[in-house]
Amino acid sequence: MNQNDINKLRGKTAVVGLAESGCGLASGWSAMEIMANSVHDALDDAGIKLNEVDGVFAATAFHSMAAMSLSEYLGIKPKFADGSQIGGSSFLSHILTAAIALDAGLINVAVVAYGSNQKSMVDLKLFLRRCHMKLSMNQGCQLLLMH
Amino acid sequence: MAENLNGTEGPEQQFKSYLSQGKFMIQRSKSLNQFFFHPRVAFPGTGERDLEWVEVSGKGTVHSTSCNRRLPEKGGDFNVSLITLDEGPRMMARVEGIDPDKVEIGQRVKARITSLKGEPAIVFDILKG
Repeated sequence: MNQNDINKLRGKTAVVGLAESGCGLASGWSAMEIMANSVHDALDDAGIKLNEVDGVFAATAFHSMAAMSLSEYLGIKPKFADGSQIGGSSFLSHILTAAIALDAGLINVAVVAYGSNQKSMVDLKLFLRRCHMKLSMNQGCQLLLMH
Repeated sequence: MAENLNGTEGPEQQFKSYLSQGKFMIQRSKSLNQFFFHPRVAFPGTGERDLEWVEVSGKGTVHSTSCNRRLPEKGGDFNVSLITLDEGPRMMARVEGIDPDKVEIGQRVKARITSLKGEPAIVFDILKG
């Protein structure tokens, strides 16, 4: 795919809702709860109902099948889901895939979601040891919704 | 836009806190007047967020059951069942006080609060009569 090809997607889809939830400390909240909370906030932001969502894109360090886990948590059965986990660029990849799926008419509404409680979870040190990560991680959660 | 959650409890933690206080509470949407389980931030499928916690009877019916085999030195066999609560939702839990392979579909059960791996949890006992 060269630059001209990717330009074909320009203006075909749009981010229509956005939300963050639980940034900073959020003790007592799981990664999934923070992620789902921001999904609902972003849907409110866009004025779109949960049952209109037919594309789910998600990645977290806590769920090996994040798109499936999020769909189960939300209680929806999307037509298209992608849980590719390629680190911080996961969500750029999700947005590109979502734009292609939207443009192809496979789906009408996609959620792209992330959730983490790495900063406030009680057994943080255990988690870090397991993941070989450094203590510099921030918590964050954001979501883009495309239509 | 960013919502600060610090100092509050997520639904899963709230559920466990209620269990620690000896209360079996599940969530209900006020507008739908419908219960659901497990605890979530919104009603599954339709996304209503007008949720309230309600203490349930704890009574239910065995929907499905299985006996998980385990070596005696690792704790022995244990039961895993799906229980349909009288309030509607279905949950996965152990039925105890009976041989784990003797639980039967359709049996009436009642919830009891116990502790599993240091965390408060629900198990069910067979309801007599």
